Amino acid sequence: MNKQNHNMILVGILSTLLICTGFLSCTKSGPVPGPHPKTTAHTAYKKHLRTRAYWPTASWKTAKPETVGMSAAGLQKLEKYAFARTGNDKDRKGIRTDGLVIIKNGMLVYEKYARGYTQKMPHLSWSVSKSFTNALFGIAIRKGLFKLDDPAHKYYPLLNKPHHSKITLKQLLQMASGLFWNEGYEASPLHSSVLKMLYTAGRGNMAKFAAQQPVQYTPGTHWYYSSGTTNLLMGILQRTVTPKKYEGFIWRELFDRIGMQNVTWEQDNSKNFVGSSYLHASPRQLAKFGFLYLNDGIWEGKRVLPEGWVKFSMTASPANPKGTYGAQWWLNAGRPKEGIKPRWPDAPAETFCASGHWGQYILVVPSKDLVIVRTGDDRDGSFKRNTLLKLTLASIKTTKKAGGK
Amino acid sequence: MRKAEVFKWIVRIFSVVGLAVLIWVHANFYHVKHFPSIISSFYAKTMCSCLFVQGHKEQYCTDYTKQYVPIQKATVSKAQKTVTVKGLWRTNKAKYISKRHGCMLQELH
Repeated sequence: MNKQNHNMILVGILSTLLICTGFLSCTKSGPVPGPHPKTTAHTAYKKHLRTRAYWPTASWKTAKPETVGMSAAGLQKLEKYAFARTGNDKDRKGIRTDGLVIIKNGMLVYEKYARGYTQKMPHLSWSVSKSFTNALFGIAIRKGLFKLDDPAHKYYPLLNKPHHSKITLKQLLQMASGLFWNEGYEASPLHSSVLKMLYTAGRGNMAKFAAQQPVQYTPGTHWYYSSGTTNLLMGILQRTVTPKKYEGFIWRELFDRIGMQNVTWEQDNSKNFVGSSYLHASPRQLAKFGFLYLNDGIWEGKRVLPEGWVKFSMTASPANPKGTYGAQWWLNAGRPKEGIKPRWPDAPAETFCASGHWGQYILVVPSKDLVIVRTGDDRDGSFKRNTLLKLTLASIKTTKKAGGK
Repeated sequence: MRKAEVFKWIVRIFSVVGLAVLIWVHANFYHVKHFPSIISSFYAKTMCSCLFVQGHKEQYCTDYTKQYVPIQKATVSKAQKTVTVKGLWRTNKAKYISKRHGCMLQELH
């Protein structure tokens, strides 16, 4: 037996032990039980359309909380919670917020950074990146490159196989392709598809790696949160826009349009941007992305995302049993008719969230004209999104718009 | 006689355990083959982004990146903006490309 094989056996035995002990320090990006719209966001944010006095393309205007109907004392309470250092930094325990930005009525009313971060530093957003993939598909559909119900194989020939050919773009966006996937990190490092995709077998071409998975369920019938699916979508986009124009398309049509500056988006070896995980931006820049969705995909009076796109994105994926997931966005609505309550009970049902592991969030509450961006490095679940929402909402004194129009 | 009997049982037990391990490794070969690289490639990529995209100090990035499975060796080249890591007998390297593209793991051979 040569040395390599010998090592392989050792690794096998070690792996078994590691599976039981949950060794890896990367965790799954926050699956969130949440919900479906009864009173949906869409009606709530329509009233804000095209009524902005300014757009934060160049930068956010700041305002005192009181001028937009928020209480400074309330925000202090929020700060006390979000920036409490409850644990040991070496052990990576407790609440570990890196940045917090609050946009109310289009005005930046609160921001604070900690743990070595500053206003301009980019933060790794992990799975928040997935919601950017959603935006790029919205844009591509607006430009007539795709139709939502198109079969995916039309744009990605590797999917032109008996079962794979039934998968549609819509099913991919709604995480219901039926493709086999294991999104486990800590729970199953050995069998994890996502770790293989990001770090070993799939890192050369992540879209291809995802497309090569077998079809496990009839497309459209089974919901499963899969980072592979998002990268497959990015592969479809890269191929369709053409690799040459791909990067220019992303920056020109999305980041430049909404003034997102200093974005880093890391690629796999096939020069595809890793839509599942690797977008870096500062909280102020991420807030612009939340603001785009708050405004139904309109920026400076023009459509970036096509009409109905935000509505589609924030409607629960039909195969998602708890109504927690739309299209590359997490939802709070639940399925009230089936007795499934919102995941964040202290926030309105129409709240939606781009969510990345270790505590990266863009939260949008359309009825309150509110965007919250929180970055952090949570390793033990101490930080609660519901408390963040609850304290922010509690600091809103009135529903009347006092400014920022 | 008694000693020989005990020895025979020990051999039997080891054979069964050994066979079980072999069957397990065979059944999971694809996963076992790719598993060891995760440790060094995760460390290399994460460390590279932490240092060269976020711009943190090395100590911060070491605390941020560490995993329960220790690595054997990590080499940071600030001049070339690379991070090379050996862990579980595998070596992986991540390289900073540009401000827009951040870090990328080396291609698999």
